Amino acid sequence: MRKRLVTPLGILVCVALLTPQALGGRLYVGAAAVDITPEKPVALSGSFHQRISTGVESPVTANVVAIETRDGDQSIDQAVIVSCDVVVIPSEILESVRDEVATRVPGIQTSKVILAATHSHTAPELRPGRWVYPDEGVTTAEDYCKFFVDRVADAVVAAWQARKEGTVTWGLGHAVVAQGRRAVYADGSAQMYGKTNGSDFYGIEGYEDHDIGTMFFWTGTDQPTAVIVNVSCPSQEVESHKAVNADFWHPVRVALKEHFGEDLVVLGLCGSAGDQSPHLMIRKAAEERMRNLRGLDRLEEIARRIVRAVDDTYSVVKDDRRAEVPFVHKVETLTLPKRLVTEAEYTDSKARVDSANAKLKADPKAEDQDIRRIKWYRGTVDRYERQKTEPNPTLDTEVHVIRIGDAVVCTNRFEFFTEYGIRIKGRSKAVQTFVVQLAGPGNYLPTALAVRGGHYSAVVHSCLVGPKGGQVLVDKTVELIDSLWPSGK
Amino acid sequence: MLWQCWKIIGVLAVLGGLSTQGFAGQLHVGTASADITPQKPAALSGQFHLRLSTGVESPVTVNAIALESRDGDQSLDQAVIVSCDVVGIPADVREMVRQKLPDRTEGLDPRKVFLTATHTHTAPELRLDKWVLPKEGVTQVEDYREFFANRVADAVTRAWQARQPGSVTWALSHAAVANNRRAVYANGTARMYGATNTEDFRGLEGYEDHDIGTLFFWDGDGTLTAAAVNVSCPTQEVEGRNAVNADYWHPIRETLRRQYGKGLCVLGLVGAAGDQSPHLMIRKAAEERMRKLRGLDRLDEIARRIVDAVDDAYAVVKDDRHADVPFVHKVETVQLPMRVVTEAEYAETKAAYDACAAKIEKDPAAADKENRRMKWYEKTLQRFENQKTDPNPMLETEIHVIRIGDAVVCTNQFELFTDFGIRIKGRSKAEQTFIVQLVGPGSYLPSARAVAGGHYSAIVHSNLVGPEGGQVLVDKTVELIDSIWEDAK
Repeated sequence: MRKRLVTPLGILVCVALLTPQALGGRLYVGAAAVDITPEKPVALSGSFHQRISTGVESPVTANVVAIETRDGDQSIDQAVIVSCDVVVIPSEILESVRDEVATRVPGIQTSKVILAATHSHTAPELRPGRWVYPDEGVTTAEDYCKFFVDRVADAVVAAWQARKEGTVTWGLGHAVVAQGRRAVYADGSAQMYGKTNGSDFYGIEGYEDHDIGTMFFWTGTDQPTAVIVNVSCPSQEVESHKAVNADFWHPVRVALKEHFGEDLVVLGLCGSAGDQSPHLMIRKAAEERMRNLRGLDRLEEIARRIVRAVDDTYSVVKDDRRAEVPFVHKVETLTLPKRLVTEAEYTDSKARVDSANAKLKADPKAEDQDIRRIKWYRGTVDRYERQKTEPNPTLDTEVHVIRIGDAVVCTNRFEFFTEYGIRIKGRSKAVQTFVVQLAGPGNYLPTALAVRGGHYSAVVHSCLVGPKGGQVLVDKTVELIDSLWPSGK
Repeated sequence: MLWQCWKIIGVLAVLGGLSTQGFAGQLHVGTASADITPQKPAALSGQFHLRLSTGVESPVTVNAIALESRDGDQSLDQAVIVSCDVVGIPADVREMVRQKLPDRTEGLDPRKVFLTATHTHTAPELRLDKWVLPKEGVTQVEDYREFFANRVADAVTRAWQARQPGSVTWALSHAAVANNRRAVYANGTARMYGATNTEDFRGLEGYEDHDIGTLFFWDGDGTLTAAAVNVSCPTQEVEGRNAVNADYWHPIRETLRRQYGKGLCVLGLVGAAGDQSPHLMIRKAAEERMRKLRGLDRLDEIARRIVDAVDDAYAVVKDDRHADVPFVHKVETVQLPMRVVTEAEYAETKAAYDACAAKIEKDPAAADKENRRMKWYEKTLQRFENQKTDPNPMLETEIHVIRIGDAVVCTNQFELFTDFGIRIKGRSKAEQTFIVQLVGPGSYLPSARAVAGGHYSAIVHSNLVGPEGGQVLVDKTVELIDSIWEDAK
């Protein structure tokens, strides 16, 4: 193994070139994983209709890596990254986890704990009040939240306490997993999962980012301790299932553990992919033929591609490990301009709420299926009402930018359309940039092109923040990255 | 009366043809390759300035596959596909080749032979009057055309004569080779190879198609004899060089022949990729780090990805061979509305033309650099003049649509923006669709969003045909695909 340790001359050069913030320190790493599968049926999150789980197809888990750099006994900086098999991370959940961790391990800077969702649509609901539950036999969202917070806090503490001297490297591979899911038509309109075989089909709206970014961590053994895998695609291939399922991350983890050891902790981090999905959009027949010839199901096929990219990357970078790296973790709360609700959007939303209410009045049982949609439109109505007193509303949102060696990890809370991720990658001073979306409660953040095309994910009800706010987020993220590379690329 | 009889005979002949078109026949396959490397220095094609080759870095070749389906002794249909390491295929050169065939290729309809360019920018010029060349010590373009046409005709003849019962299959895999090369900025403009690290960078203009489509052919003994590899990226990674070079197809051929036998004929077919390039646009530093860690140069790295995809596909489909497949080859000349030169474009072009002329007048040595650009502008000026008498000009262009089993190969003469290829793939009835561009002289065919963004490849001088004609091309191609699948019902 070749370790890149900083020489005395190197230290002098670094000191001359970098601010103290960017100075390297001795890397410490810990990792842990925990099962977050509920024992009883739960409401699954991610659809507009209620689904109570009928079983468990694969376990949902939370996977943690704790990173710290030290100068002797002094902690220089730290980060705890948690990948969770859930659809989103509500802010209250993040705060609860941080509070719980703080009570158990005072040494952790809990603001530096990040939770990111893989966006599995077959995981338990973490947002109470969204569904009407049966009286018995089901774990409610409130109860599941407690369980989740407890388990995730356990894993964070375990990872933190397990940290020891380690090494890190990063690598770039590729896999065609993400599919642009917004079809565009001759009249300029777009549709999520729209048909592509009509004569008015004009293409896929945006870019697909097929990067597979990986960050490997070792703690002394030959086998890596943890791997972060950054895929710009939400894990929702089996989103319509009614059983708990970690989607494609489950077979990815199983395969990587087979390759690198049962103790490997695999963090699935979803890159900017608000307009992406693993569902096939074009070339379906050719893809399905290949899959059938391989004898795989779709989850296995997706996992095969990701694992192949990870394996290939590992073989290239495994000897380029670093024990001392620049490591800086910045946490900031940004204020983004919100997307304004227009009068026409308000009128339309109001009419839909009224119509749904009338339907409920006629048939109260319809509530199970329609409650989410009514709340969706009502949210838009409420926003418009608030604009009367607050015409320029803003949204405060937490972002993290972590420099690890020559790589950077930057997070946001959104279902961030891929183009924004490309803007950050294009402008980033890092050798390799990991963009992580859904480190928070979600919400689509569409491009201007998507807003013009309309449809779900780009209409006002889908978006708290619009293209203007998206660009502010990009600019601020790039600004933070720039601040970590004071001497340029 | 005589004319009417001929019409009836014609209709009967067509009906007779149609009735058998959809039926399977025993596939016959023949292959041949030929070296088309010039012995003396030659003008290289693909840049606006004159480059005389200073040597040979890798041989340029043509690779031909002859296909025929037979019912007993009766030929049902046929196709000869020739992949050529050149930048484009001038229509008159294609005709030169076809005219040389009938004496040597009994039973072969020359119209069913098509030539496609890999688009290497480091191959000899095939177009007359592009350059002012020294009279001595240099291969004259006229001479190279004759040499090229003879070598191609010879390869076609050998492939045709070598055909014997064989089998075929098709496969889809993936490789991140194409990079969308048009950067888009905040003001709505676009720029080919524009900077992506500026504040106003807003993304890449369009989609990247990372499909690797492969058609594998075996002879009667079960030996793999040919692989036609469809990559939606032109072959121009080393386009800036001054030596003859087949670009990344050379290392691909070498590797595949090492793996599958030195007799393997490898056809590089470029998919719809007018807005694509192998040049890295974003994530350059990460890609370059990985490449260096692998110890490869860029051509080897690109070849590695494509070969890996071909190998992966081969492993899956190698036992799914078909000897009796539906095989239908339609050749049509379609009329496309040309892009109209506006008055403003004319005025701007005239000024640019005059500026070039002034430069040459001041310094005759500038002709080497300015000559091509002047001719470029001159054509736009001429188009504007022609529009005075022909306000709705049309371009006649030959397209081929070939059904091979459940796959279809469809060609066009353009540097077709990827969006158009995606339209065809989305609408195609085939299980797998191979788009082959540059089956002809080239000329960028941009999408509407590219025209709105402007810059080289989407401005009027770059385009004989615009988005409107592009859509006609898509519709006609889909219509032909449909007709083949309808006939087969």
